[in-house]
Amino acid sequence: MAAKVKVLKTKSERKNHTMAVTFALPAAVFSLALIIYPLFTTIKLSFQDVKFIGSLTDDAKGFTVANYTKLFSNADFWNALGRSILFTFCALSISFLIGLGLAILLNKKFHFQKLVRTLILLAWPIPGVIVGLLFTWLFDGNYGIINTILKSLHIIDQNVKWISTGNTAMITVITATIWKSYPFFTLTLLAGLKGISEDYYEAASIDGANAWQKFTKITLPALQSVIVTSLLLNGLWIFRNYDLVYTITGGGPNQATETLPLLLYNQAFKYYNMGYASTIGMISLLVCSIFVILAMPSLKKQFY
Amino acid sequence: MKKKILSLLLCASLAFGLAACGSSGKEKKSDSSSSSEEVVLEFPSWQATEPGFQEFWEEAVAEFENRHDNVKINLYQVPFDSYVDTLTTLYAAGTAPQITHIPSRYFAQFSDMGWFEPLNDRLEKTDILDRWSSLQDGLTVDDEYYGVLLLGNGYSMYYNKAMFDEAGIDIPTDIDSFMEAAKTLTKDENGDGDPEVYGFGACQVTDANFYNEATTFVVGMGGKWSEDGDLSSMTSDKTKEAMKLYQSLFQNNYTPVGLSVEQKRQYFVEGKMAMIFDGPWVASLIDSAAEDVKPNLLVSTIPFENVPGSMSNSLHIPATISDEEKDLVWEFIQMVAEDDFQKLYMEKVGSPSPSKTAVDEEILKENPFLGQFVEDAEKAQEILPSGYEKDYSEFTQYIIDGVMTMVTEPYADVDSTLENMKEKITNELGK
Repeated sequence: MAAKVKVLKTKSERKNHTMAVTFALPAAVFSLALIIYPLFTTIKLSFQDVKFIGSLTDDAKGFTVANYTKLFSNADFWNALGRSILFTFCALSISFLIGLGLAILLNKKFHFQKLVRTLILLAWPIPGVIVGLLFTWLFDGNYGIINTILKSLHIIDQNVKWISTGNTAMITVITATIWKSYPFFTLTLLAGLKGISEDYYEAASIDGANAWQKFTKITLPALQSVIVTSLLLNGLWIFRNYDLVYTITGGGPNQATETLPLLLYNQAFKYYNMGYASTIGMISLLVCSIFVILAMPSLKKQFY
Repeated sequence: MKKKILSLLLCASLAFGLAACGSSGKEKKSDSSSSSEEVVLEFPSWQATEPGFQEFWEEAVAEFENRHDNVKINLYQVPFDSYVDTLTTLYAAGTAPQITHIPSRYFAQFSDMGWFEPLNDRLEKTDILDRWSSLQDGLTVDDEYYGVLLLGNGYSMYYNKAMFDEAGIDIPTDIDSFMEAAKTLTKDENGDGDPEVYGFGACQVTDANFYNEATTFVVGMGGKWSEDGDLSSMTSDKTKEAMKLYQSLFQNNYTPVGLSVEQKRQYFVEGKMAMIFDGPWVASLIDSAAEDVKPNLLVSTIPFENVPGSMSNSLHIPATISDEEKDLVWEFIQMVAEDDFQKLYMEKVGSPSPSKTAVDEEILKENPFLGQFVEDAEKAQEILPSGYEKDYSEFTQYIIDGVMTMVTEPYADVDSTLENMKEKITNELGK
């Protein structure tokens, strides 16, 4: 019965619905074409032994699963996938905690609040390549300012070779990624915090709740959908990040920072193995889809 | 009703807009195919806004447009970091720029795709091959030329004369004196294990510059990574000796670690290193050095038995453009190859011309470094992997990965690493 009631719309509602569809249709068709065509091409290429699109000497047209067989039996791929997951997890979790902390701080009223907010958000619009270059100089193992500061604070006795040692190179790219991505969390979570009514906190205070209880029982549940959305968006950005890592380490030293996007880029644009690169692209898409599927229940609650 | 009409109008205007976009592309194409209308030749380059190169290219473009009433050249800058990717994408999309300028190390990969026009017939009607450096032969596939070299260079040794004078030592001329100088000029004045000044400056980031520098030592000391696809030279005594010497620079702290090539050059110009090996393009950076450092930054021959070098950059004609466009691009290449333009190139850029007839006393007098560059370019021995040019990127990545393990802690054993590199390249690129 309820379903029937839903179907029976007024004439005006039907008219509005048709108009909405009419307006949305061109954009939808355009967007679908931009997504479906490249996706279809990538799927097709991943099943072909193709060197490069547009090659006038490439005659491989048959379909094969050789790219997938090669990929799954290749240690470099599994290592890159593992690194990508580690890189994403570390950068995402730390930037989220910093972003959340700053959002809570900026939600309070204090002098120069607007200035501080602007300064904190400054890192977000800076292009990844610029951030990469900045961190290359900051973390230079010979004359870099980070070593100078750490030495003057007596935290280290000798310069740390940040970019030329595997573990520290990963720490460097994670630090740069955190610096670039935490403002997004601050921005979105701050917007979420502004939407929470003060009444809840006042009521909780009357009931004797302490700050931690208010945070866990009011703030976090109210922010849940914002947190999931921002984690998803930033997580996807970090997982697919290429320019920042490439600029700082080029994937080195000894492949210590070669994540999946770098492996893909190298195969596609350095070695001209477009078929194999497309296979890596498909697996990346699959991993990203898993992120989205996991976030879907919360997204549905927020948007539908 | 009004809303309905409005929505229809909006849809129609969108469709019209899309159609207009489509038709403008067609118009542009017809522009370049008709001889009576203006022809636009696209010319992307990473040098379009680089000091020195910019003036040279702008003068070349202006002169060509003067000589051809209905032709315009659209010279525009693409940053070097993304240059090859951009060009690759343009070719893949079937929109190759008519005047194609590439770093020549990518020549074999591009020509392997069938993207370049063969030039033997055109070159035979000119004297370019008679005048040009032998490095031009690197632009051939099966005895057919597919491009014209713009710069072929040797690597030179830049040094800080004041540091040598202060230490009372001579400029190195062989391996022993080079190592002695690197040791003597590395100074850790406060004894914290981190030198303030280094005897030598090497780059150590996973990119093509790292390959070039490591190979400078290998070729300089008489070794090779490969010879016509044969990898036995990779484990020869000379290659091993070169790699051990290169490794010792890092092990003994005679060079900073983890530097990009830009950092290496910058620190040299700032007076933090006594010696670096690099190409002629560093000379323009020396101009930006502080006034007290600048007169001390000089250039000399690399202190090895061979002078390593390579093709640097070249011009090509895409195979897929119209015949009329091909003729125009060839005229442009011919014009740039004229001695007057080659002299202008040396004057503006400070790098040696591949034309033997363009170098004269006057030009050498004007640019103090040019004589050294010309001498090094003439003696240069190719650092590109012989027989693996088509797999340049993949081959060099294996070299980079292997050599990087030798020069980063815990410093992998040179002999066994070279054996492993050889085995990996044989398995992956098998020749």
